Amino acid sequence: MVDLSLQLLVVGLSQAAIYMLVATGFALILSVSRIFHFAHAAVFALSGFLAFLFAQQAGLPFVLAVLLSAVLSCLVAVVIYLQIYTPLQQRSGNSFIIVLASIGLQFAIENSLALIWGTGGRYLDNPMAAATFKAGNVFIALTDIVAITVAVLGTAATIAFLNMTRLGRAMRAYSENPVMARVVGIEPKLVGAVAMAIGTALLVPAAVITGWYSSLVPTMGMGPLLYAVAAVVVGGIGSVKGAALGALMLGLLSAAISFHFPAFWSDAGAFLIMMVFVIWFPAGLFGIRARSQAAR
Amino acid sequence: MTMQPEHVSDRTAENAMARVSGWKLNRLRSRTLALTAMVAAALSCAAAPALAQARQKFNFAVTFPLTGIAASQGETASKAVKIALQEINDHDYIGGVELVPFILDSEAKPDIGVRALEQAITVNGAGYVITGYSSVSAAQAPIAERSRVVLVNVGGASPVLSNLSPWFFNAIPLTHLQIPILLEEIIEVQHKKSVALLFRDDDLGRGIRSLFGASAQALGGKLVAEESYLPGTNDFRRQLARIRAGSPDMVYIAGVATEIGSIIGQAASLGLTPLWTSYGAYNHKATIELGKQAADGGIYTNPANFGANLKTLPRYEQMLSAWRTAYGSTSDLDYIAGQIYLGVYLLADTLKTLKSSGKALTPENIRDAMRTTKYETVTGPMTFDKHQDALTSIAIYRLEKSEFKPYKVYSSDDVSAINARVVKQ
Amino acid sequence: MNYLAIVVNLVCIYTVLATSLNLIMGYGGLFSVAHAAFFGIGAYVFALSTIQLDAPFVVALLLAFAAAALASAVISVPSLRISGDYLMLATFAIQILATSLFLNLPITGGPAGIRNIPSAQFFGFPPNSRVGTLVGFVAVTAVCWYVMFEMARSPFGRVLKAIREDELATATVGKNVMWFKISAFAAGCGFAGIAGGMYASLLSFINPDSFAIYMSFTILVMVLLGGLANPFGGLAGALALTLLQEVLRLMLPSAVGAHVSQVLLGVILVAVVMKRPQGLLPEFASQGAFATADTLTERGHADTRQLSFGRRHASSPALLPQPILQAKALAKSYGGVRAVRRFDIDVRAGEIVGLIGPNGAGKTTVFDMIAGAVIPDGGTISFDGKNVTRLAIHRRGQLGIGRLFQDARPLPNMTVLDNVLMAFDDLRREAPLLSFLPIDREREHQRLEQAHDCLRFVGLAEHASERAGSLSFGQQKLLGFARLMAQDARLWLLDEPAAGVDPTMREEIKTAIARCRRELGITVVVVEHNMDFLRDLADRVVFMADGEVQREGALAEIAADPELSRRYLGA
Repeated sequence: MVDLSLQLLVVGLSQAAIYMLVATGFALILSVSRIFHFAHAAVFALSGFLAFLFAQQAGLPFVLAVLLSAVLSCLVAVVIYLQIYTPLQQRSGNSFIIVLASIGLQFAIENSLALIWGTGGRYLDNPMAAATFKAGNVFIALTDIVAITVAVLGTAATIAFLNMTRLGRAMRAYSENPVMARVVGIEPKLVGAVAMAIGTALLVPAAVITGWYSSLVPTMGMGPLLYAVAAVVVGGIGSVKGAALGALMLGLLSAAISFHFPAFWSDAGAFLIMMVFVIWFPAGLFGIRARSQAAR
Repeated sequence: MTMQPEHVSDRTAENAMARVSGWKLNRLRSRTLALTAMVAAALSCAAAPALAQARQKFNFAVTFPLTGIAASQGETASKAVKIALQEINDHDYIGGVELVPFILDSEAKPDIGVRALEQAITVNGAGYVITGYSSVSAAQAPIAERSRVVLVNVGGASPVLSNLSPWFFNAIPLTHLQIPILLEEIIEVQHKKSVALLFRDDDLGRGIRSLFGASAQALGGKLVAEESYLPGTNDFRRQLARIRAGSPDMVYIAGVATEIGSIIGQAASLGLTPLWTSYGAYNHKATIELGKQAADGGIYTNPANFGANLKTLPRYEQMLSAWRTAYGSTSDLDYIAGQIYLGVYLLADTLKTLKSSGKALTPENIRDAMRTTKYETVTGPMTFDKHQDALTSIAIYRLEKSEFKPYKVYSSDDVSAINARVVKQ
Repeated sequence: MNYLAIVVNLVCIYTVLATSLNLIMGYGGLFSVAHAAFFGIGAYVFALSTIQLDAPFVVALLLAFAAAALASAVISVPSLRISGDYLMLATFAIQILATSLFLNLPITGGPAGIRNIPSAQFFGFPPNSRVGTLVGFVAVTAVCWYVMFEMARSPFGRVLKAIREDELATATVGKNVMWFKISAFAAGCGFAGIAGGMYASLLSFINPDSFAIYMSFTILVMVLLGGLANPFGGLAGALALTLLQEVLRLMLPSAVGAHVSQVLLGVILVAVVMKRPQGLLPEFASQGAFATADTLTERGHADTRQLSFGRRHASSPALLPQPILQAKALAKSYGGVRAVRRFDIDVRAGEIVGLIGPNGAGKTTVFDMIAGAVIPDGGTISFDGKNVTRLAIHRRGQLGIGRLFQDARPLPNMTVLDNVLMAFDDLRREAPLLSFLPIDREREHQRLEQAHDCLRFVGLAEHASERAGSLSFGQQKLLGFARLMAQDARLWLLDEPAAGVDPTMREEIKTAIARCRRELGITVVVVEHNMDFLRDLADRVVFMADGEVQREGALAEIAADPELSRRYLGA
C-alpha cells in the first residue's frame, strides 16, 4: 500500500508537472492581457508536432529541434495576439468575443495538425526512456525527474522574471492596473506579446515530455488545458503563482483520488473543486479580490 | 432485442417483392451524387478494364477508420480492397457481376460510423457493408437491420457483437472464443497463474471484462487486478501502478492497436514487466516502436493464416503474392488487411453461389446464403454458427525480436472443444 | 432521399440547439459553454425512457425537456449568482463534469453509450420511415422554434434583453433579475434537452462523444454565425454549418473532409468575430413587433394633455403629512473608509428635496442604500411606513422607489420604446410559462399606448423606434424619466439629472420634473451640484459632507451660509 501510494505520488507529480507548465502560461496570458486563450491547447499540440517535424522528420539535433519549435510556436502565438486578439480588444471590451475567436483558432489549428500529421499518433523518441531509478519498490524514471525539474524551474523563472526585471514589473503593473500602467508609459501590446511568448515557451517542454510518454495527437492539449483552467480558478485569476500551485494541487489530488477509486473519477474531482471555487470563492487562493468582486 | 427474421420479412413483404431484381442498380442510378459516382467510376476503372461494361454491378461499402486512432489501418484496408477487386473483377470471379467499392471513414467512432453507414446505404446504394471496431459495429448493427442490408464485421472482437441482429455477421472469431485459448496456454501450459486485465472502457473492453476473470478461474488461474481507462487516454501510469500492486505474472490488454505500445512502454518505466498478452491489436507497428524490448515476448491470439504445421494457408499465400506484386513488399500487410480481403471474398463467394443457383442478388438472399455456405478463406475454412459468428481457426502468435510469429494453431474444432471446457467449468 | 432526410433532421436538431442557446446568450446575455451537457442530458433521458419505460416519442421528448430544464435550474441557482467571466468558467466546469458523469455513471453505458434506441413513429407513417421522421422532426422543431420566438419577443424576452443590457438598471425598475435569468437558462436548456431527444431518436445510438465540450463550442459557432438575438439566427447558423459539413463529407468522404470542415469552422468563426460580429442576420432593432412605433407617432402631439395613467400619488404635500421616506442613522463603510457616517432624512410625499454637498460627501452611497443597490451597515430605511432596510433591490422597485442614475443607464441596444415598455410591471407574459401564449394582448396594447404617452410627455415621441444608445445624453435622461413613469415610481431618486447636458436640455429636464410632481404627485429626492437648477425646483435642500448631514433648509438659506460655502463649496 505504501509502495502504491508513493508510486502514485511520483506519477501524480510528473502529470502535475505538465499541468503546471500549461497553467502557468495560461494564467500569465490571462492576467496580463485578460484573454482566455483557449487556443493555448492547440498551440501546445503544435509545438509538439513541430518538435517532431524537426527532430524526427528533418533529423535535426534534438536541442536544435526543440529550440526551433519554441521559436515558431511563440511566433504563431504572438501573431495570434497582435493580429486577432488586440484588434478585438480595441474594438470591444467584451471578453466573450475573444473567447469565441480563441475557440475558432483552437478548431482551425488542431484540425490543420490532423490534416498534416494525422490523428493516429506520432512518437517522439525519448533518449532517456531506459533510465529508471528504483527506491525500494518505487520506480522513478529519469523522464519524471526531468519533467518535474523543468516545470519547477520554468514556473520559478517566470515568477522571478515578473518580480525582478523591469519588463516583468511593467507586466505586473499592467496586470494590476491597466489604466495607470498606460499613464506611466507601459505599452499594452508589448507586455501582452511578451506574456504570450513566455506562456507559449513554457508549453514546448510540456509537449515534448507528453510526446515522450505517450504519443503526439492533435487533441493532446485539451486535457492539460482543462486542468490549467481549473488550476487558474483554484489559484485565483490574476495570480501566476496561484495557477502553478493550483495545477500542482489538482495533479496530486487526482492521483490521490485514483488511490481509492477507479482512475477516471479523478477528473470529476478536479472539476468539482473548480466549480466550488468559481461559485463560492471566486478570488481563489491567491487571486485579486477586487477583480473577482467586479465580476459579480 | 433483435427481431426475428420472419417478422422482418412479413412487415415489408411487398417491398421485398418489388426489389427482387436490379435492386442496387436502381438505387444507384437515382441517388448517387455525381461526385461519388465519379469516385466509384475511377476506382472501378482502375480495377476492371474493358469487359466490365456489360456486367451487372453490385455496390458494397467498407466503413473503416481512414484516419482517427488507427489511421494506418485504413490505408492497408484500402490496399486490401484493391487487390481483392483486381482478382475478382479482372478475372470475372463471380460470373457477370462486377463489385463496386465505396470506402468511408468511421474514424473508429460509433456516431461517425453510424453516419458513414447511412451514407453507404442511401447515397452509395450499398447492399453489403464491411466494418470493424467493436463500438462502431455495435452501433451500426441496428441501422443495418432497419435498412435491411448485410453488415459484416471483420475487425471488432468484442463478445457483445455475438448474436446482435439477423443482418449482422462476425467474420472474425470474437474474443470470447479467443480468450479461453490464450488462457489455457498461459495458465495450463506456461503455469502463469496470477493474471490481470487492463481494459479500454468501451464495448470491446467491457465485453472482454465480462468473461476474462471467469475464464481464468475456470482454468485454475487467479485475477489479481482489473483496471480500466477511457478512450482517448494517453497516460496509463495510474492504472499500471495499481496493477503492479497486484504483482501479476501476466497482463491482458484489451485496448486498440495504437494504445498497446504506449501502455507497455509506460509500464516499463514503472518497473512493471509481466508477460503481455492481447488479441490481434497487439500486431501493430506502434507496439514495437513504443513498447521496445518490453513488448518482445508478448503473446496474442488472432485468426490463423496458417495450417496446423504453421505453413501458410493457400488462400493467404495467394493474397501475399498479389500484395507483393501490387505494392512491392508485404511489410505493411497486417492482420486487418487480411480480414478486409476476407470480407470482400465472403461477398464474392456468396454472390457466386447465388448466381449459380439462379437467385437474385438481394441483401436478403445474401444473408440467407451466408448462413449455410462453407467458405474457404485466408483464415482457413469458415462457417457461421447460429449466432452468425465465424467458426474458423485461431493461432497464438508471439512477438520475437520485433517480428510477429505464429507458434500454435487451433482448428475450428479445437476452438470449440476448449471453449466447451471453459463453459462447463 | 434518405440521406437528405438525415441532413434535414440534423438541421432541425441544430436549429433547436442554436435557437435555445440564442435565448440564453443572445437575449439573456448569459455566456454558456455547457449547452452540450444539457443536450446530452436530454438525449440520455430520452434514450432511457424509450428503452426502459417504453415511453412514446412525444412523452420521452417532454421528459427530456423536463430533465434538462430541471438540471439546469438546480445548477443555475448557485451559478447565476456570478456573472461575466466567472459564469463562463462555471459553465465550463459544468460541461466537463457532465462529460465525466456521462462517461462514468452506470446508467449511461459509459463510453460505449446506449444503442438500439427505438426510432419514432409519426402520424401513421410506418416505423423507421425516413419521411415520417422527417415530418415529425420538422413539426417538433417548428413548435420549439415558435415557442422560443414568442418567448423572445414577449415581455419576458424584453426583460431578458434589458438584463443583458444592464442588470442593475433592470433590477432597479423592479424586475427580479435572478428569477428571469434562471427561467431563461432553464427554458433554453430544456429545449436543448428536446434536441438531445431528437438526436437520440435519429441516430438510434448515443455516447458521450457527441456531448463533449467541442459540441458546446460548435453550437456557439452556430449562434454567432447566425446572429445573436435574432430569432432566425439559430436556423441560419444551423443551416450554414450543416450544409458546410455535409457538402465536405460528400466531397471528401474520408476524415480529411471532416478535418477540413473543422478547420473551416474555426476560420469562419474567427472571420465572423473579426469582420461581422453581428452574424449573418443582425439583431432586429425593434422586437416589440405587435405594433410598430411609426404607426403610433402619427397620432399627433399630446404633450399638453394629462397623463392618461398612473395613480396620482398625492395632490399636495399638506395632504399627507406623514413622511413617505424616512432614513435613520444610515451608515456604510467600504474597507475602512466610512463613506456615510450617519444620515437621517424625512421626506414627505409630494416634496422635492435637493441633496447637495461636495464630491465624496456620500450622496451616491445614500441613493445606493435607499434604492437597495447597497445594504447599509447600520440604520433603518422605511418607505411608506414599511421597513425596507434589507429588502432586495427589485422589491423596492416594485414598492415604488425609482431611480435615475447619474449616467442615466439606458438599455443601449434596445429601442427607446422598449426601454419604457420593460418598466411596466403588470404584464402577464412576463412569466416565462405564459410568455408564448396568445393572452393578455389587450393590456399589452394599452401599455404600448401609455409608453408612447410617456415618451410624448418627455418629448421623445419621434425617437420611439431608435436605439436608446443613439440618443444624446440629455435625451437618455429624459428617457429615464419616461421609464420612471412607466414603472409608476412614487419616489424618484434623481442623481445629478442636469449634469453633462446643455442649458436648453437642462431647462427641459427641470420642467419635466416639476410637471411630473404636479401631475403625478410624485416625491423627488435630487442630488445636484448646479444650484441654479435647484433654485426654483427644490422645496428644501439637505447639505451633506463627510458622510453626514450638515444642514437642512431652504436653498437660499444654505447657499448664503458663509461657513458652508467656505468649507465645502470652495467659494
